[in-house]
Amino acid sequence: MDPPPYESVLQDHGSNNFFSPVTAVSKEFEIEVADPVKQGESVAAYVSYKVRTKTTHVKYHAPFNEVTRRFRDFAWLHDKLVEKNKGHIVPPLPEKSAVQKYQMATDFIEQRRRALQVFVNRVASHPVLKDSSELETFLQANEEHWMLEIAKWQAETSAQHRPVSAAAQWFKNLQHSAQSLVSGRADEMQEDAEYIKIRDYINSLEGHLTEAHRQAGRLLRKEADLGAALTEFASAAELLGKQDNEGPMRVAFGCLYTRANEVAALSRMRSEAIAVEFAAPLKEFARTIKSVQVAMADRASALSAYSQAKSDLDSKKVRLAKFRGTPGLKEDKIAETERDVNEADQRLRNAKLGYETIRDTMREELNRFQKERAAEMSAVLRDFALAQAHSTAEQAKGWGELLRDLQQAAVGGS
Amino acid sequence: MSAADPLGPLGGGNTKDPLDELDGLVGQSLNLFDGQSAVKFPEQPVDVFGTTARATVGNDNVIGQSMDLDLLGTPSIQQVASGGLARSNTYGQEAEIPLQNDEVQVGLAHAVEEVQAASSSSPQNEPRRIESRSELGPSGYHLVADGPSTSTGEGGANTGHVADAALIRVWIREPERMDGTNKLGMRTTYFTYLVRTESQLPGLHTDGSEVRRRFSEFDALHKIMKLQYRGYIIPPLPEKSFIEAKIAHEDFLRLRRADLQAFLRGIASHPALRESEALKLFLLQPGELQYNPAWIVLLHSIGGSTESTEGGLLTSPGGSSATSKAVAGLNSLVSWVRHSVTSSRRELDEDEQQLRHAKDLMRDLERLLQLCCESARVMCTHMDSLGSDLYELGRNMGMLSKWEETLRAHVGSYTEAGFSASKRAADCKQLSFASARQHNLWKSASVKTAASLVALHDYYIIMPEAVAALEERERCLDQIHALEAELTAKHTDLNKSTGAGKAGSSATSRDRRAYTLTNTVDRLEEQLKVCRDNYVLIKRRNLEELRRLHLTREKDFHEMMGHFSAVLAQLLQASADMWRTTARQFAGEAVTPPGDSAGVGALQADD
Repeated sequence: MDPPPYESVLQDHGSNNFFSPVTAVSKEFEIEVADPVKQGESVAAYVSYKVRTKTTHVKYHAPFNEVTRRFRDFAWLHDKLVEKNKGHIVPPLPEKSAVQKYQMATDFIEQRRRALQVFVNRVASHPVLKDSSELETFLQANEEHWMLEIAKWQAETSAQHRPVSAAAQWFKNLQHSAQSLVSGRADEMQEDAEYIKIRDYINSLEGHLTEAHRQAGRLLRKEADLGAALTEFASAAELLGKQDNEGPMRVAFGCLYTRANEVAALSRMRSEAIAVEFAAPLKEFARTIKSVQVAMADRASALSAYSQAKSDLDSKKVRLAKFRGTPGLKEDKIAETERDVNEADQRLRNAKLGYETIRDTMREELNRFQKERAAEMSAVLRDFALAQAHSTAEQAKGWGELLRDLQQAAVGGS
Repeated sequence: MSAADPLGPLGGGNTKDPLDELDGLVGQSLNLFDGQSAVKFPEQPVDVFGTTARATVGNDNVIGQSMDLDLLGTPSIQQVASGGLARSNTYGQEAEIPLQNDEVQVGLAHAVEEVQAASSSSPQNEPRRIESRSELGPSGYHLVADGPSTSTGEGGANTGHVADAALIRVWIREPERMDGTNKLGMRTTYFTYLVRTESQLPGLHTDGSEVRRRFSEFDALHKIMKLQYRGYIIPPLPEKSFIEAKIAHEDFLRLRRADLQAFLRGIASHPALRESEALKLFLLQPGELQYNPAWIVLLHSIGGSTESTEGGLLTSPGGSSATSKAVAGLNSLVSWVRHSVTSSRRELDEDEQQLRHAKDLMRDLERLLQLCCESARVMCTHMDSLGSDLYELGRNMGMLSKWEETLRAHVGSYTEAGFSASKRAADCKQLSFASARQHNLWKSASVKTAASLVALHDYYIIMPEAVAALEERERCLDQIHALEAELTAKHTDLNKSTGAGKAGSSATSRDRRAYTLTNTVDRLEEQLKVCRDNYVLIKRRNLEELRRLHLTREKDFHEMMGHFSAVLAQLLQASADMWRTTARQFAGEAVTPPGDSAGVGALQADD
């Protein structure tokens, strides 16, 4: 029996208390993405999946649901959640690789299916996102309703510019900082120290995890190569043995051939398993970091908006004071400025609220994220070690069997 | 025949007809070709001259590799990759101690024991010690010890079974660079090697002789062997290299030393070759051989016959320069005859046919062995590469761990972020260490696997020598045919000349001609007899060698596969244990892997 797939390792944390033991609670959702089917022709071809939901969530009108969705639909869910839940870490979507999609290789489809299943389950176990109406729509909406939603979304996205990417956001922040530098504002809004450290940490982490994923990929390819080389050797040895007609060498080399092929098969299976159990999770962790970076970008822009609103208010206050102090100025001018100040004040309050909301959300999210990741990473690494142990033990056993075969051949062959 | 002729006087003291002897042996040895491995040895195999030579097979493999799996140290895989399966029994690590490899032996024995203990409750079977003798019964190789084996518990050296296997032990060490001047007066650089011998062989007794030899002396020994022991399989010698010797590359020296050692050991373990005077001189005579009179005589014998590639056809195994003129004359004759012989499709007797078939088998075998060697090399390279990848993974995980540590240090261990960071740091570190250990394991796995398969390479390089030995016999037969043809021609001439003479020729000239012809005929008949005797001898040797080759091959390959599986079983088991420990450390508690009913008992007895 294989160690449990990592998606089932997803655990419901819920609580804020970081000392609470991480236990698996009975899940509110169990979602399966299955039965990939190719649809359409050539360039317009795509793959549809069945999404089966089993849920105990109060908002859902039925405990069981089944809908048909394609990759684009998952993308809708993802983008909508990002849009509506600033500051939250939305689980990452698997890659939109165009080339591979076109080729539609079976491996690729299976990989994607698994990744989509992970994605939607993660959403469904996120303490905030699981209650979202977007998820509900995604999991329940019938064909008609769904097509409407999609059409609406597509219209929106073509009309507006895309949500600002993290890089663009950073650039905007830079502009603002430059601006404030020039204007010499000393009361620039600062992030709290702990957050900054975490932010820097997150930014470098992505690189490390991506590298780890690449390494895992190399490892699994090497396992596969070794298996193939062993098979080659076994074949060559068998040919050598056949030279001996019906003699003991033929028997012995025949045993080698059989056992070596068994071990090679184990090696191959191991390679495939590493892909699923080790490499894929690392990749997903790396992509999740990107989601975190999106949230961090949102926070940064909220902070910058807050900052801007403040400096805006300040400058308006200064102007008002100046006007008030100027004799002979028209009353309506002053009134206008007073109105400006009030508006700016209001905007500041909004911006402040916006920033503080995101900040508080993120604090919770980051904690959850860190804790979850620690547990999952631990599980992935442990399962990897276990599976390696299991496989190598099986291989060792195979070689031991060969040793026994040879003994028996030696004894019995007289 | 010269006194140095190892064959001794023909027929001296021998009451039996050599051909009768041969018949007896042929009857026995044809078993070789019907695939029956149980070759019955004649009770007391007698060679042509009545001396009871024990036609037993040396304990070592055919070229005397006492299968030293020099598994100490971990030399780079480059060596294996570049040199094919280089002679790994002297894998660079200057194991100056006699290659007992006790630790290795014990290690392997333990491995096999572990494997077997885990899988069955039968009494521990030890793999046969490499250096110890085995009773070479009809079933050949035994992996199962017969009760408490006498080979255990002792130092591993001569195990008390006297005679045979470990009779002559040879080591080559300490290559030394020498500068000198060659015959043309030019400065040259060459290397000498220390050759150490310990031997209990009656004719070559020594407790520890050490001499220095250079490659040209090895080369001379090789040529002498080829000449004196036609029909036997002579271990191969690496080629003379002019350039590499100058560069004195460390790798070159190591491989050269290994090859030379293998060569000498091959001779030392060959039941016939090791009786040679030349070998005795080579191993025991101190000082430079070129000044030794006995050696000089031997050198002359090869000097004459190396002039032509087809050379030495008529040289009797003893060889002497007196016949070299006759040789030259005969060579051209033989090449002419060869054409006519092949075109006339002479009927070959059954023995000849079978022996020629055996030659084809040798060629096939060579090809198959090459395939095996190549695929083995690829396999080992992949193992090594897997090791490298594990190393990289470990390094990567280590960096990840450090990065998590950095965060923890910044935010403090007791913050939420810090707490989870330290957990992740610990986990990554675990995997990092595990990967590093696995890397070491796989690197050594690739080396050990290559070492365990060295027999493939050894037999691969001996095949051409076997073919050469068989071809010696064929050449001898061609010679016989040539002489017979010549004789027939001369007889015809003789008859013609004793019959009606030519008109006008005087009685004296006729007589003179008849006299010359008769002399020629006599001489040819003498040569023909020698050739025929040689043929008989060489054929017998061929048969002996084929039988010996087959037996040792069987034994060695069986042993090889045993080692191969033991090595892999041991290493993979070690790997599994390491992984299991790692997994446990992650979980922080004893974990039973799913489906593995007894955590440690991955190797279950199949009941």
